[in-house]
Amino acid sequence: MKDYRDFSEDLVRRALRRGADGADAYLVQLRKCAIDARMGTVETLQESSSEGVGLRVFRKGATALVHSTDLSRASLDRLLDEAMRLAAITDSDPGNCLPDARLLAPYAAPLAIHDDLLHSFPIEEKTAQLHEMEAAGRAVDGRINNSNGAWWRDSVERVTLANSAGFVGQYDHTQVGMGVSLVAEQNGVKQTDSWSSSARSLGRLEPAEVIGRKAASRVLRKLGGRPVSTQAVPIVFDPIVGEDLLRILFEALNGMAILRHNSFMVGRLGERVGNPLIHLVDDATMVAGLGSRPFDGEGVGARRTDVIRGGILSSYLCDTFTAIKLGLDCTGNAARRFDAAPVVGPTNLYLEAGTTPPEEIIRSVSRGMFVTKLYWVGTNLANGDYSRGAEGVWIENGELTHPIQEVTIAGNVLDMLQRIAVVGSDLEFRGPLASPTLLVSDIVISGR
Amino acid sequence: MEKSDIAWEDFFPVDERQIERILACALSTGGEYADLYFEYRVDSMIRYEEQQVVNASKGIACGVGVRVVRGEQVGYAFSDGFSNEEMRQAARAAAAIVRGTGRSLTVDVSPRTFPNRYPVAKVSVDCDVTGKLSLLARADAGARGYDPRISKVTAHLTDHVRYLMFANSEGCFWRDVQPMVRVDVAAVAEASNSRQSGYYGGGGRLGLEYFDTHPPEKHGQESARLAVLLLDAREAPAGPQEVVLGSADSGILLHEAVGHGLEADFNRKSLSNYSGRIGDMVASPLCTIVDSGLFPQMRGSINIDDEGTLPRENVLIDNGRLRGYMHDRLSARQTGAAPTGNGRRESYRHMPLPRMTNTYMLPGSHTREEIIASVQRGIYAKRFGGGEVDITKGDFVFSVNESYLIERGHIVAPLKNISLIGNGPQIMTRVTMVGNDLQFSDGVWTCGKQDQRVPVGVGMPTIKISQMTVGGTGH
Repeated sequence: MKDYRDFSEDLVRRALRRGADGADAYLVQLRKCAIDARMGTVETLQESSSEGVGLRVFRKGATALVHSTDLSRASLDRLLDEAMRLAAITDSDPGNCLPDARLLAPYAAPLAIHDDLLHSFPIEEKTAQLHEMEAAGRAVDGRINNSNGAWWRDSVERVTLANSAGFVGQYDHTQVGMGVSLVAEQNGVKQTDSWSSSARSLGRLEPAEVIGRKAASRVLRKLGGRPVSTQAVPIVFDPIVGEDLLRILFEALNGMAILRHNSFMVGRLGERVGNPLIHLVDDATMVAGLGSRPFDGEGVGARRTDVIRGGILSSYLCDTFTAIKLGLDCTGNAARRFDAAPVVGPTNLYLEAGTTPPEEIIRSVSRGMFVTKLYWVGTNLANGDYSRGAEGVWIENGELTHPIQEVTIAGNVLDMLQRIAVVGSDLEFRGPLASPTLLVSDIVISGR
Repeated sequence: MEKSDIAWEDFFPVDERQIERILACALSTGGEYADLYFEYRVDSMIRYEEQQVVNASKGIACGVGVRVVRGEQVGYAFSDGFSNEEMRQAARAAAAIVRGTGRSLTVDVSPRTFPNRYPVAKVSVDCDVTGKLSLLARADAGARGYDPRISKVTAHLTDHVRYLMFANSEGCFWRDVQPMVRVDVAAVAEASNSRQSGYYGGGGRLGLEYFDTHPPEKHGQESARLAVLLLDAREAPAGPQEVVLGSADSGILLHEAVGHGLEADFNRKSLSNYSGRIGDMVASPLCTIVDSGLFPQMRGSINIDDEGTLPRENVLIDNGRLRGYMHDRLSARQTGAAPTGNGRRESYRHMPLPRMTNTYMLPGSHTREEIIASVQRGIYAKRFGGGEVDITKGDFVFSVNESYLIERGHIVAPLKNISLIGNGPQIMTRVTMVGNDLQFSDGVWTCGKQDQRVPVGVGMPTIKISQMTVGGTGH
C-alpha cells in the first residue's frame, strides 16, 4: 500500500496556510474481500480497495471537518476552503483542540494486529472453508434443512495520522472472520441461528468445522421454543449476550454521555456502582485484540484503563474533547472514521473472568432462564431502565430443559450490576467487547 | 435543477467509449451481464447543541461499482476513482467470479428518460450555512418554549445529494439526481427525580423548501412534548393484550416484520414465512399492503431503481391474499418473475438487493375513535423507537416512544418503558379493525439489510390487533 505520511503532513500544512491554528489529517486505506456462499455454491464475491481522508481544522477554538474519497489536489483544496468557512460559523469551545502533546506517542510494544499471511491466502482456500463450515453444520441433524449461507470477510487497513503538533503515525492491521447461519424446522416452524469467529489472524480463527457444528447446536436448541409466563427469576447470561450489557455500560461510561448528562453513571466516580465481583477494563494494548491499536483517532498512545474495579467506578472513557470538558484525564478512547469527527469508542472492553465454570453456574439455578440471544429494544441511558427481547432455554433444578421464545426481560442496569451474583471463568474474545457467563438474580421476564 | 442543466462530465470524467471498454473488460471472463454504477455524493451536517454550533462537516464520496453476473453468481468490485486503470482493475476483480471467454459490445448512451419525482431548485448541500443555522435555532426555540422542564436540546440538520449514472451491457443508460434533507431534534425533560428524552424528526427528497411546509419549531415542540409526556407516564402492563397501532409511524413495524419477508431474495431461498405461498390467505382480509416508490419527494421514493428498472405500485398483499414479492433483476430472473423496481443499493460500494421503497397499508372503514372505543383494556402505541427484527422470519421486538393505556374505550394515561414483541406474519392475521386515516411517517426511517442502509418511507392507518405481547415492568 502507498505511504501517505508525507501527503497527510502536507494537507495539515495547507490547512495552516489558510489560517487554521491547528489541524489533523486522518487517512485510511482499506482492502477488503467478502465471499458469500450458500448450499455449497459461491453466490457473491466482492473485492475492493478504497481510500479516504478526513481533515479537521481548528481556528480560535472553533472546529470543522471535511472528508473525501477523492484525493486529487484540486478537490481537496476546495474542501479545505470549505472547512475554513465552516469553522467560521462554528462556536468556539475550549474542548476543541488537539491532544496534550505529552500523550502523542504510539504504544511501542508489538500488538500482533497484522497478519502477513492473509494477503496471500487464496480465494479458493477461503471458499473451501465456507463449504466445509456449512456442510459440517448441515450434517449434524436432519432437522437442519436449509441454510442462510456462510460468509467470509477479511480486510487489511492502513491508518495514517498527521497533526500540526508534529505527530505523524501509521499502522497496518488486519481482520478476518467467517460464520454460518443455519435453518432448522420442526412441526412447520422454522428457526434460524448462527455462529461465527473473528480474529486478527488466520491462525486465531476457530476451525470451520467447529463453527459449523456450533451454529447447528445453537439452532437445534431453539426448536420447539415457547413463551413462559411473566415472572421474576434468576437469569444466566451466555457470554454472547453479556456483550450486550457491555455495550450499554460503554454508552453510559462514554465521556460524551456524561457531558450531556444522559447517563445513569453521571456523578458516580468513586462510588459503588455494582457488586464487588465486577472489574471492567478497557485495554487498547491487548496482544491480538480486535480493538487494539498503537494510537487512537487523535494520536493518543494506547493504554489500559480500569473502569470499574471491585464494583467501584474509577474512570469514564474520554477523548480529548470530553476529557477537557469534564476536567478529567484523556483515556485515549477517540474512535475515528475518515468521514466523521472522532467520537468516544471502546477498545477492548471486558469484564474480568471470575472463578466459577459456566456449567456450575447453570447447575446452581433451581428455576430460571439461560439467555442465549437478546434483541435490542431500548435502553433509557438517562436512568438505566432497560428492556430486551430474549431467547434462551429454561433451567429447572440445574438442568437445561425447553427453549424459550417471545419473551422480554426488563429492569434497570444499575440494579442489575448490583445483582450480578456470579461471574464465570469463561472469558473469550469474539470481538472487542467480551464478557464471561453471568448469573443475575431476580429479573422480570414478560411472556404469556 | 434539471438534469440537463448539470455538467455531468465534472462529476464523471468518462466518455461512452470508456464505458464500453470497462463493460467489455467486466464481461471478458464469460459473464452474462455487467453493469456500472457511478456515484458522486456530497454530504453535509450541522449539529446544534446547547444553542451552539458544535460540529459542522462536509464530505465527498465518489466512485464506480462494477457488477458481473453469471447464472446465480455475482462478482462485485468498486473503485474510488474514475481513471481507466482504477476502473479496469475493479472490472477485472468483479469478473474473477466467472471463468470463460468474453464478448465485445456497444452501448447506446442516449439516456433513458423518466419523470422526476423530486426536482429541487437548489440542492440543500449547496445552500448557505447561515440559513441552515437559523432553521436549527428555530427548532431549538420550539423545544425550549414548549415547557420549562426542558433542560437540553440537540438539533441536527443532515443532508446529501447523490449524482448517479448507470450503464449496463444491455445498453441501458440513465442519470439521476437524488436529494435528501433531514432534521432531527432530541429534547431532555427533567423533573424532581425523573429524566426523560423525546425525539422527533422529518424530511424527504427535497431541498430546504421542506421547512416552508414543515416549520422546524414543530419538530422542536414535538420532541419536547414526547419528553414531557414521559415524566408522568406509568409503567406498562406486561403480557398479551389488545393493541391499537397508531397511524403513520407504526408503518415501521409493517416494514420490518412483514415487508422484509416479501423481498424475493428470502423467498427464493425458502427462508421466509411467505415462501411458496403466492395466492394463499396470509393476513386478515382487512389488510392490503403496498410498496410504491412513486410518491413525490417521499424519503423512500425513486425515479428509477439502482439497476435501471422503473418503480411502480406493487400490491404485495391484497385483502389478505399474497400477490407477489418485491424483486431486483437477479431475483426476478431466478424465479421467472418481472422486476418490480425494488433493486436498491446504499452506494457504489454495494451490490443491489431487493429492497422496499415506501411501504404502507391501505385504509379501511373505521375512524380512529371507533377503534379506541372498541378496546376494553389494552394499549395504544403511537410512535416507535428502534427495534430488532429477524427480517427473514418476521420475529420482532420494538420499543415504543409514545403509548397510552386504554381502559373501557378511553385513553387513560401515557405509558413508558414499553416494547412490543411478536411475529409479523402472525400479527397480520390478528388485525380486526383498520382505520380510514392512512398517513405517512415524516421522512426519518432508514432500513438496514446485509450491512446496507437505504432511506425508506412507511405509512399506516390506525389498526387494531386482537392480541400482541407487550413487554414492560408493570403488571
